[in-house]
Amino acid sequence: MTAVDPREELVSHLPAMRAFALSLTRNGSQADDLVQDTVLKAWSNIDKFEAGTNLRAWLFTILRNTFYSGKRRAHREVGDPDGVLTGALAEKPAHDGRLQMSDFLRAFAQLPDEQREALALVGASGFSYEEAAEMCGVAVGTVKSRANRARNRLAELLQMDVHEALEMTDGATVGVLAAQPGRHL
Amino acid sequence: MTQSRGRKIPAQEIDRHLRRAFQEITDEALPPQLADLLERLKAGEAAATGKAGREDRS
Repeated sequence: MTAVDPREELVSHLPAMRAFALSLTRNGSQADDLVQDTVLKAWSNIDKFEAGTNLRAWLFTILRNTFYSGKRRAHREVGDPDGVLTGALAEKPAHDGRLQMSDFLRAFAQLPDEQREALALVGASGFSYEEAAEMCGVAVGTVKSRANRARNRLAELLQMDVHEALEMTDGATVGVLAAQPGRHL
Repeated sequence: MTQSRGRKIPAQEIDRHLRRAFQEITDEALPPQLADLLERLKAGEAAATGKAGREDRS
């Protein structure tokens, strides 16, 4: 049987990579730049990918490493740019009896990078705790702890009440996600 | 210390919201620069391979 060139499969992972990149950067244009950088690195280092292993996990690992490298570089150059963004997003959610997706995403954007990353990997992208731990280079317990703290923090930010219905408003969802290029996740 | 006003949202509910948000993003059409990127990389490699082949034959 002829082995399939993993580069042929790259395209099928681009949408998931975009979603993960958006969860890290919280900015549409930065997310697309991050995916582009990741693809270029993956393409030129494809010989380092081990056939038979999880290509998406490999791509996500490159993506998150690229993100944190860029962030460290930006921090050295201009201080704490994320602090500005976090502050801009740190408005208290407006409650009208239902949890709107826009409120949820605003709260999600306020989480620390490592908590957002853990939840994006295990909660949204379907990776196991073990896979996420390997991708992040930390212990499994650390990923579990980060994900649990992220969920608890989200609950606090959303000030959920036991009687509040957990429904989403589709219009709000589409509005938040469709805003380009400065949309946030 | 911050406190929740009511009980915590079940973890599954948080994850369900996230999956839905991610699904909406993955359902979007790719921006042109990303959609074209792989084609450009393939074309570049094909050109490089062709050039190497011609040099080998000469």
